[in-house]
Amino acid sequence: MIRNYIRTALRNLWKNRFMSFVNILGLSVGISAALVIWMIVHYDLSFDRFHQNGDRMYRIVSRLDFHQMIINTSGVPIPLIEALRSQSAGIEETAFLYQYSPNVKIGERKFGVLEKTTFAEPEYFNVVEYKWLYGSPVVLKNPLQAVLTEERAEQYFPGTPLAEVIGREVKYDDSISVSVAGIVQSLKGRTDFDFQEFVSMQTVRSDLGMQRMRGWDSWNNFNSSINVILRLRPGVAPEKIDAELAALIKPHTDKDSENKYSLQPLREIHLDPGIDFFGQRQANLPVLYKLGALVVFLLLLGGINFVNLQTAQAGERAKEIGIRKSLGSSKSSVVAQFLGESFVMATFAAIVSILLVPAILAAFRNFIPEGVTIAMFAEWQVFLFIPALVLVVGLLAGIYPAFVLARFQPVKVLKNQVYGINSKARLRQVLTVSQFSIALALIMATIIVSEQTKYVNRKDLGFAKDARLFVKAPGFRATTDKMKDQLEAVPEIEMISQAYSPPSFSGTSSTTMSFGSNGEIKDAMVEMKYIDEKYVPLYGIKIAAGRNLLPADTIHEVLVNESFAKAAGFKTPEDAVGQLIAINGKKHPVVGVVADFHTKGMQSRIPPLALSTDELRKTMLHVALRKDADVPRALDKIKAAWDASFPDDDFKPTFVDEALARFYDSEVKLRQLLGWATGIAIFISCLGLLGLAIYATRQRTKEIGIRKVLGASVGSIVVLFSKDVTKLVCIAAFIASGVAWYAMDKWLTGFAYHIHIPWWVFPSAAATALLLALATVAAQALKAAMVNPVQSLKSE
Amino acid sequence: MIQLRNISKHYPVGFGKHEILKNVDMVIHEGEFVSIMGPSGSGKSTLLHILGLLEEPSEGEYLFQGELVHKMNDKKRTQLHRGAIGFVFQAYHLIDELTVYENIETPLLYKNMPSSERKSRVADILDRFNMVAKKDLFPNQLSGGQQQLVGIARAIVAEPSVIFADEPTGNLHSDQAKSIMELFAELNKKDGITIVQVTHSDVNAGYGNRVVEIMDGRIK
Ligand SMILES: Nc1ncnc2c1ncn2[C@@H]1O[C@H](COP(=O)(O)OP(=O)(O)OP(=O)(O)O)[C@@H](O)[C@H]1O
Ligand SMILES: [Mg+2]
Repeated sequence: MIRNYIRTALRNLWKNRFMSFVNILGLSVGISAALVIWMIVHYDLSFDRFHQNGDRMYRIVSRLDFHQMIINTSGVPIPLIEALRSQSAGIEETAFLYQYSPNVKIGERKFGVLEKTTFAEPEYFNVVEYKWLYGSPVVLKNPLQAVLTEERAEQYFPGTPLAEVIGREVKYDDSISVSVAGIVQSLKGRTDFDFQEFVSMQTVRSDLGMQRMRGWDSWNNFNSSINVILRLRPGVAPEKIDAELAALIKPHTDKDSENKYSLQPLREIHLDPGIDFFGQRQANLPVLYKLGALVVFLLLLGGINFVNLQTAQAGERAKEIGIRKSLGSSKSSVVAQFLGESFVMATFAAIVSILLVPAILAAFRNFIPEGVTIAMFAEWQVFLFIPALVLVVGLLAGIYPAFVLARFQPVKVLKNQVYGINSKARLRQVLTVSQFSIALALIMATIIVSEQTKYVNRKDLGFAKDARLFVKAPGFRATTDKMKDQLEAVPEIEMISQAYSPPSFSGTSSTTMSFGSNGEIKDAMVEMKYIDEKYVPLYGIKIAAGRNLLPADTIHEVLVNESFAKAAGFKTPEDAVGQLIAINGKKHPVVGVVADFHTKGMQSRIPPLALSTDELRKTMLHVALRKDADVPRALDKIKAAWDASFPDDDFKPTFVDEALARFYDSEVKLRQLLGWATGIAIFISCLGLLGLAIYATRQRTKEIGIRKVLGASVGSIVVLFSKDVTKLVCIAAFIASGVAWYAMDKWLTGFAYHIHIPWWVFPSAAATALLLALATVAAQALKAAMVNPVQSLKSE
Repeated sequence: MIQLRNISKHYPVGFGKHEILKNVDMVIHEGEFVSIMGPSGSGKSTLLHILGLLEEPSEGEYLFQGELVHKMNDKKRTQLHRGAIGFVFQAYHLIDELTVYENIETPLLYKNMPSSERKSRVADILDRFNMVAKKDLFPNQLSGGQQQLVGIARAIVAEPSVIFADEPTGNLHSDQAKSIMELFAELNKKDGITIVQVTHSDVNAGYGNRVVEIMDGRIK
């Protein structure tokens, strides 16, 4: 029987080749999207699942409450680690990692700054198991020892047998020489523990200077490059350790601090968007949810095509069903037969999707984690997802048409009197409207997102961003000053400033301040920028009242922005000039008020801000080029000066406008993604429409012929066919406008500065969709209308 | 075996209704070979559809094998179509997507017959109807008469207890018609299969043992 069904199914698919093509293509777009998203989800969910006793492994995380600001961190103060080791009975092993990004040199060969190096103790290897090729964890007991992975060993000493790598020297930051004492295999399996180089923690412990630089003995140093991974004894509840942590830290912090310390299970580390693991890419669950919703939409669109075309075909399939029923086919076997057909269709679609996946992975590289590749098909969770998807899609798309067809009465269909097929036209209209609503809402969303992006890029920031660049100097003040003097002589350069961050910067530095004659601002955390006297003119920041800062080595004179002056209760900027401001309890005169400028992307409101001098924090060089300067030439000259001053450090300048663009990375990605989704949605919807139009014209060939004999013009026939579609698209536009307006209005609230949704978005999106829909339908109608009427009538 | 009591059938036409069968009473016993005759449009096909459980009467009672048809559920009717009833349509009604062989095989598939038996049965029938050479053709590759033969073959292949045949030889040469009628007579006599056929031909009607005349929806 099954063979009999499959045979009819395949022959029917072939007979209606074009419709089958439409169905399969529509479904395969949805299925391949679902497949890719599932690969990402599976990828992100399968991190670090292979560790022995992984269910007892935890990371210490803290939620630090600074009154104005809450910071989530995985940093752990080092004294706490020592205390935990000696005082907590529930912990079986404590591994303490201290990430380190040294500038590496081996002999005369420079490797630059390398990531994935950490200080570690032998205990780490008791928590996370490695396969040792040479040496053993105990080698890390002594100072100045390093353990490399095979890969790193090959990178440092290409071609050298591993045995000969042992004992070789590696130099960090031109000052620390370590010798290779062991070689391990990198962890097999998906993991965030992808360190390549372990340096004995004893190296830091035995070097006082290093300890001091890194705040070694402070209870308040939550440095995110110091992490603790620990393994509890069996049966110990993590909450018990949470309480111990709080008790251990309590005596060393403010009495009224609301800080919270807790253990985070290993499996949650990769999924925590708030706290990364030594800068590794984390899973972004909200994004995955959004992509999941998109997949549902795409599947829906393909499914709607299937239902529409299948019910439209019902008239043609009805005869077969009538005969089968008269031969003893039950309702359920008709349902089974047609479900089978939709499974066949879904299977074809799945095959097409598998072929599409590599193309999708390539097209969406920017959105997809690097580790997600076609190789993942070998994992059963991905492999088995395909038949599961076929089952679900086949069932959802096929169940309704199957029941519609199974309900037909045999004699009625055999006598060509299938009532109810035409009434399904209503359903098809509803489905088509939903399809176009989705497509239209996506068009509208895309327009609004790109309008907002245009707006944020055009909005006056309150400072000059073009032809300005900054570079972080590696330290050493004297060298930086020397380089600055050298740069002053470069003709392409207009001005140089030494300061901390540029006006808009992702990082924020805040300090406790009090300001205002009546104590309006009291002991509040306020953002602070450390600058010199050139900074304000270099960035073209306007002075609203008073004057610029005079040069000074410490915080001396202070500038505030208008928002700060206003928040402190001064009616005009002039009123604030000459007032005293307390920074960290010390009073300083406010000598000027600068006009507000944006310190972050348009997502954030301009905050109260103070600017002052501080010699120690002027770690970046800011350079403004002349308007007519040849930029590459200027860059070459700056690089030459850099190389002369800092031969061991790469010159990595950042242009201010490029740094600004990074604030909108996710918006740009969103716009790209929406653009794709919109294109696909329109494509699928029009494909479905095309299928329906072909059916309608096929069914109405006779009518068209008669009308033409009676004197109808080609134009009037095309109009006849286009009327319905116009109506449907207009209804869809109405629904989509509401949905898009609501959703995008909400999205825009994520920006402190945003556009008002322009009214023209809705009609222009509707017009676009209508045009496409009409083009699809009218082409078919035109073809039918052009046929010689005698021909179409004779063939009836 | 078959008992019709006061059966009427009408279709709504405009504001009134169009009566096609009026107060039909009829009894057909097991093992009978009945021919229904009457002018075109008199309601023969409609009556046969009702007998074959393909259409519902508007009024009246129909007992099939002693059971009230309008009380039967879908499952029971399906069961009867699988086992008890073979139907030959006036318009052949073959499944366009299946070959001759597969069309004839389909009722056996619904009966869940094992594959070996199925094969031999279909082969037998094909042989009997001289259609072996045509077994892999599709219906639209056959002439009208050939399609009719396939329709008959399909009706008898499952060895039903009653065959309803609507003008089974309408498109056949008289020699072919004769052999079909002889086949029907043989099935009727040897296997005791009840046969009800609609025919316009007195010769064909002669093979049966009773003629029912129908005129304007009434039995004479
Ligand atoms: N669905 C319907 N609606 C209205 N009238 C119908 C319908 N089906 C059949 N009829 C009418 O019922 C009458 C009987 O039709 P039927 O097919 O039973 O005739 P018949 O005796 O088999 O004729 P023929 O010998 O031509 O096959 C005809 O007048 C036909 O017009
Ligand atoms: Mg008839």
